[in-house]
Amino acid sequence: MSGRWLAGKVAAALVTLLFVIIFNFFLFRVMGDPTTQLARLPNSSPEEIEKLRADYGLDKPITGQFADYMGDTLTFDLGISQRSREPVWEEIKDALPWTLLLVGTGTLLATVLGAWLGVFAATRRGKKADTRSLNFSLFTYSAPEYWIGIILILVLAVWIPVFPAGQQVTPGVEFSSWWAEALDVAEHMVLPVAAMTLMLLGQYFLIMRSSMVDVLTEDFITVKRATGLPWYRVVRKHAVPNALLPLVTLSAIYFGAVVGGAITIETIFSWPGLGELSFEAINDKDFPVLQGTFLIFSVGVIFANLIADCLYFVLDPRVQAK
Amino acid sequence: MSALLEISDLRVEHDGNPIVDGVDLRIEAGEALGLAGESGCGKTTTALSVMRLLPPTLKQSGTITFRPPGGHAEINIGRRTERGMQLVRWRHISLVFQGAMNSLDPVQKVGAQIAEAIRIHERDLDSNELSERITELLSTVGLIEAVAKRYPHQLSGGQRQRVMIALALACNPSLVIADEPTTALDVVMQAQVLELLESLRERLGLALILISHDLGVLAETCDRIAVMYAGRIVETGPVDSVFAHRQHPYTERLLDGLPMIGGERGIATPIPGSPPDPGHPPEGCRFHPRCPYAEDRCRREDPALREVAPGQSSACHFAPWKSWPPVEPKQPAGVER
Amino acid sequence: MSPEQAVLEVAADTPVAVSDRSVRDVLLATRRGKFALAVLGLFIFLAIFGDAIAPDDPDASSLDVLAAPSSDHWFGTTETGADVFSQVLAGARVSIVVGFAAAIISAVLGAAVGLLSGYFGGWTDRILDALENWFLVIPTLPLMIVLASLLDPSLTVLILVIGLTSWAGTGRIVRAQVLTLRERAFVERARALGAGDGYILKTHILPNTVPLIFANTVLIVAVAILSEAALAFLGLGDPTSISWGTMLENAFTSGAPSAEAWWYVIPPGLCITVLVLAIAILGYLFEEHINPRLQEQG
Repeated sequence: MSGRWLAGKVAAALVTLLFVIIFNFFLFRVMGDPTTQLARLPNSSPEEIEKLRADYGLDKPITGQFADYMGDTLTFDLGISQRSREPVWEEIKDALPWTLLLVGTGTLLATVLGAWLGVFAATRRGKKADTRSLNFSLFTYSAPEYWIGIILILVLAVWIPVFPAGQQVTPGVEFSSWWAEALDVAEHMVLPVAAMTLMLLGQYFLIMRSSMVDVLTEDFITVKRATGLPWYRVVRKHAVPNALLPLVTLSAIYFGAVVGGAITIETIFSWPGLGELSFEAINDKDFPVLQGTFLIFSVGVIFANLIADCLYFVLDPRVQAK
Repeated sequence: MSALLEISDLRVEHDGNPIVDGVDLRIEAGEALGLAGESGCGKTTTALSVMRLLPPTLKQSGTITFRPPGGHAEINIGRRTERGMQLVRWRHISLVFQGAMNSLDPVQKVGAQIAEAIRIHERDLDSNELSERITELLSTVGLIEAVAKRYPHQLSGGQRQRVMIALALACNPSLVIADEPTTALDVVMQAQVLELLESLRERLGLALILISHDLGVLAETCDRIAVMYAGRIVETGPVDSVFAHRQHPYTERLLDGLPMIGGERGIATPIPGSPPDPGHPPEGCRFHPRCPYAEDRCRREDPALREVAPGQSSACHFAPWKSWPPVEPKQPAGVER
Repeated sequence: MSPEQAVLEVAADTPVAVSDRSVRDVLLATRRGKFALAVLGLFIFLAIFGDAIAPDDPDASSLDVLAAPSSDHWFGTTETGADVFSQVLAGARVSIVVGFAAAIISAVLGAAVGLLSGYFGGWTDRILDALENWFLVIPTLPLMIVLASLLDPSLTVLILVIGLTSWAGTGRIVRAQVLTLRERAFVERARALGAGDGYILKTHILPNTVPLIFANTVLIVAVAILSEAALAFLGLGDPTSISWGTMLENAFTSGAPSAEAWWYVIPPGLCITVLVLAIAILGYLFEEHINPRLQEQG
């Protein structure tokens, strides 16, 4: 019976996904078809535009276009990039792993650090350690992540040239082994991941701290202390597991912000992920690519929510009973 | 001097405001002491101080001495370190809270919670002995073995309260402090839990401190009763004596509000006014602003708790009271003796 | 007024739990609150009077390119030789205007959707709720990017885009509140006395949701300011006005980091951070005011 709850969540996610795909279609038709955008670019003659319209099937009635779109999308045909003439899906496939690397590492670090710091502050509530952590987190929470990125570049790549200022590998170098290449990537990862982690740290810290503060006021904590458990064990074994539950769901909700951050951070560091791809697409007015990346971003958020639901299912016995 | 637990001049303050302001209490082995009073009078705080479980914002002072039965050495609770207290907690003194809704860890199985408490104080039990103990404890409170594998949310309110009691008995303490153990339960379950506590007490020779604002509950289960008001004890004595011959106006007003079967019918009159703010207690007797019998002396002098009848003490200038003059509902009347 | 109206007025209690302390007390009680109010006040002042205070025209270029701070240029110069300090002052206006305007749009939309879907239920609710959940799932920045890139960039477009994508959070909160209010006794009483839906919404339900809407909207101002900066940074801002985001964009694309032009990079970002921080603090204090339970847990 608990499996049914999970199946329900997966079904809901698929339905949302379907709506996202449909919405995506209409979103890009909001301002007329994409070729009207091209009409604004210099060097496009009316004949070229007409030809493009035919190419893209934009001369068909809207229902026909919609059918085409649905068929195409569900078979992973997301169109052709206007700039590179490559299939959008190929470009996305190339960029996706880099974004996952950046976002995955950043989220992991931010969750671990944020949670730890949150527990640290909550157990010292009102004291200086708590106030300082709070102020630090409020600051990183309010600061634009790309600004933090720029400052990181300024300090750690220019003033004190410790880390590379951009890209994922040192260009033009032949690597003797995959290990050497991996190390090079790791070196290039430090600053972007640091920017991403700092951006998320504040949020996760605030959530965890507030969750811990709530849990520490519960009666069962006093009872655990009363049984003679030392305080650090009460915190670690009983307070933290209960406090983690809201953190899981809330961080899934904030995943949309993670995606936004990925875009700006990749742009700053020329990190070849989906964010950088989107940024170039904005500049080139390459709508097929924009539409494709937007779709993938939305899918990512849905997926993150689903993972959070699964995690919650595993962690909270009260949910398993449903 | 063989009292099981002796509290002497206990004071607890928050930011300089006294919440418990000089409390003296004794409880003998196997005795049931009731602690009564309105919410906020300091009952729970007193209970938590005995186990040194107050939050760090509260400062505790005074002497608390515990003499475990069976010839163990005397324990000076006030002077113990935190680590020292961890040895005393649950092993000698344990706790039952009200509304076991949140008194159990929601993500831990119930049996595991009992096992955890036992293992803190008895390291050498192997897992078989441990699960036998748990089954035994559960059956003592009337629960089947299968309950151990359940989570708290899978049990009913009454079952959870029983688990709390089983948990409290897990290490064979000599004193159990029950803070409003029946408040969140319906009348039927209330009776069952009280009966359970009583039978366990007899069987195991437990001492019990029962805290409740419900005097009916205390009347049933306790040998002696102490009434608290504004952080102080205002009356103590054997339960029958206190109920039959109250020696403090506050006790009188509390009991007056209790409908007695066979007594007069009428609308209970609540005590007008509200308890004093801990930061600004009234001059003189703390109760005088709400006392219908207050006189000049009461406004100036703070009465001490003193013995006014065999085994019974009161903190009222005019105790011992032989009878209680009738009181106009809204106005304090003059005192007649 | 007629007897019926008098009775209806009496029937309007205030069920929303608001703590006894006045708003001003709550805001001024803590050091953080005072700091936040001071900062917000400062930036609003700059937004209004920035023009008058600025030593130079923010757009004016000069030969003194990417120069370090000096007595002529307190914050140094940009890659076109413009005065960074003047630009920072100009940016204050954009951020404040866009932030508040977008938040107001978002608040009105969110409140309207929340009220209608919560009060009327049925199909209205289902459709609006689906729409709301929608907007909550879609990642906001990408959506804003898409909308902004489809339209011609301008401040108005930015305000509209941000306002139209941030209302869902308010909508959901308002809807939840309306659902509980709808069942309360005073609404039934009003209905029994013959009050129409519009009247009930306007006189009974709306006033009780205002504190909630307000607290939530304050936080949306912060989000709006961050969004405008991000969009400007990505090149989707208004090319005719200077905002902190465009300053950062210009700084970055003209190589300020490699040129070690820290005076160009730090001030605009710092201003965004401090302003957003101040608003976030105020927003949290408002929420505490509305939900007194939070006060104990601080």
